[in-house]
Parts: sequence; C-alpha cells; structure tokens
Amino acid sequence: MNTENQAIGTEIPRSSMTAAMSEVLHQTAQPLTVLLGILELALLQAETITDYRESVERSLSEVARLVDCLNQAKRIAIGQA
Amino acid sequence: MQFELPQDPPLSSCGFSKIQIRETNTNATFSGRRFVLQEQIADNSASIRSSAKLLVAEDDVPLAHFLKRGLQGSKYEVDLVHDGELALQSLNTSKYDLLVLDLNLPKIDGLALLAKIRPSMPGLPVLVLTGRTGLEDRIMALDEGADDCLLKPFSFNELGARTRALLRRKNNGCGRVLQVADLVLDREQFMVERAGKRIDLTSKEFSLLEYLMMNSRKPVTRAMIMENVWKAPYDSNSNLVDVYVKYVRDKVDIESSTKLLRTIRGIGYVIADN
Repeated sequence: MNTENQAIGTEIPRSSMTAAMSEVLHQTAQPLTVLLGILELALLQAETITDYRESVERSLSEVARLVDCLNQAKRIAIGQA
Repeated sequence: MQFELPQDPPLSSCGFSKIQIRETNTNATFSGRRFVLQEQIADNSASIRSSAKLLVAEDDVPLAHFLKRGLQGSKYEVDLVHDGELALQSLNTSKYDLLVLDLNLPKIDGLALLAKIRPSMPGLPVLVLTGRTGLEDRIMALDEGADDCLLKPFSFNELGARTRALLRRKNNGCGRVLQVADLVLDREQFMVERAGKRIDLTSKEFSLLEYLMMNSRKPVTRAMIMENVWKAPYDSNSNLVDVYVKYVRDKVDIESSTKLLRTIRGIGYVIADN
C-alpha cells in the first residue's frame, strides 16, 4: 500500500516498501493476463490484417499499463513512492 | 396480431443485438398463432448459439472486458460486474451456468461472496481468479466453495478449457456427443443427425433439443425448459416452449416412423427411444 502519511522523497521504512512493491507487482497480473490472452486469441482466431492490427493496438494499451507498473516500482525502489 | 415477448432477464443485453419478430413460413398454424420470436445474434454467424450463461465478476475493467469479449467468442452469453454487491444482485435475479469470480472484489470480496451464495446456490460452478500467489488463498477459496482456481496471469486458453470442464461436470457429466436411438447431437460442432442424415436447427432449437437429450427418458416440464434453455422465468400464458418443441419435432421426428419426442399430458415433454 502507498504510504499516504509520508512526504514524497523521504525514505520509507523497509516493511512498507516491501508491501508497496508487492502491491505493484500484484497489479502487473491484470495487464499480463490480458496481454497473454489477446496474443493467444490473435494466433487462434485473427484472419485479416484488420484483426491483427486490432490485437496489436489492444496489446499496446496493456503494455502501457505494464510500463506504469514498472515506473511505480522504480519510484518505490528509490524510496519516492 | 398476437405475439409474446419473453421476459428480458436483467443484464442480458450482451450477445444479442436485437430481438426481431417475424412471420413464420410454415403453413401449419399452432395454437392459432403465426408469430414467433427470432433472436438475432450480433455477428450473423450461423453456428452461434448461447450455450451457457456466465457471470464474470472482476474489478479490473480492461481485464473484465477482455474476458467478456473472449468468452463471447467461445459462444457463451456473458454478463459483467465489477464489484461483489452487483455480483450478488445479478446472481439473485438471473440464472447463470457458471460464475467467474475474482477474489479481490470491492464492496464484498470474493471469499465473502462465496460464503453468501453457497447455501442457496450449491450447484453453481464457480471458477475463482486470484492475483495473490499465496497457496492459502487458493486453499481458502476452494474450501469456501470454489470449484476451481486460476492464478493471474493465466492463459485464456486454459480459462476456456477449465470453463468447458466445469460446465461438462455440471451437465450430469454429459459428454460432447448425446445420442437417443438414431438421433445424434454433437455439442461442440453444433451438429444434429437423425439416421445419419443432417438436420439443420436454429440456435434455440438446438439448445432445446440438447436440454431434452441431456435429460433423455426423464420428463421435463415447460418451466424447466424455460429456465434452462431461455434462462427466463416460466410464464404459463406463453406458448413459446410448445412452439419451439413443435419446430424441433417437425425437424427431428417428421421423416421417421419412430417418434422420439413425446408430449406427456399435464407434465411436459420427454425424449426417449421407446
């Protein structure tokens, strides 16, 4: 969980950092599930270029969510969550 | 002009783009009514039918929408809710064949929801999704009444296979192919044959025949058919079930000397080979 009572930039205790990190890692599960699924279905069902394009576009928005998670994890790691 | 609209169950708008009333082209009039309802399915694919109705309770909106879309692609009718309270409401107002339940739901979490629904819905198959890697979560979910568990991130193909397995178990262990005398129904290829000759059925006719064959030799009432095939409450003023039974009978029994689909006066219908 994010530590609301701590100002940005201050060092956060190890235990709450671990909890925050675990929460962020937990959040990667949703976009990863969607990404995996879009790719599986594209391989099985996509027939036209338009189908593939749509799968790529939807994949990209899930990658964007993963990048957000990664950035959040970095901020936590340097103690700026 | 007389026709009847079946009650539209709540949240069931997905899957069907419109309900259209059309005149039948059969010469035989049935109970004096010549109009039936034809449910038209969104993407005009001829083989599509709503084989089972699923409720997906998942709070991550993109994941929930992906699951809905993917499962609809597997020919299921899918309703979506994003919190436990709405999940409970939907389960209490509509009949579902399977619940896909995320444990981490707002308002009422997955475990609490399971505890609430199990006493009144012991037969509802529940497939739990969890993002927590801890073994205890999965054990707790199964002990609380879940039938199966998938750990995120999971493969959609695996979710599909587990869904099929749970629905198979729910349907009295009925396999892919059902047979009564020389009438054969393939549930995955959506194919029906009588004495080796292919019979074309609409999606609702197929579901009706499938339900009768799953209960072969056991009489089923009109209310049971309405609840399990149309997923709607039975209205004794409606002759929808009788109309469809006639359609199925006309296609299945008309050319054969052995009539398989019989009416049981005062009860309903049965399909049997003698």
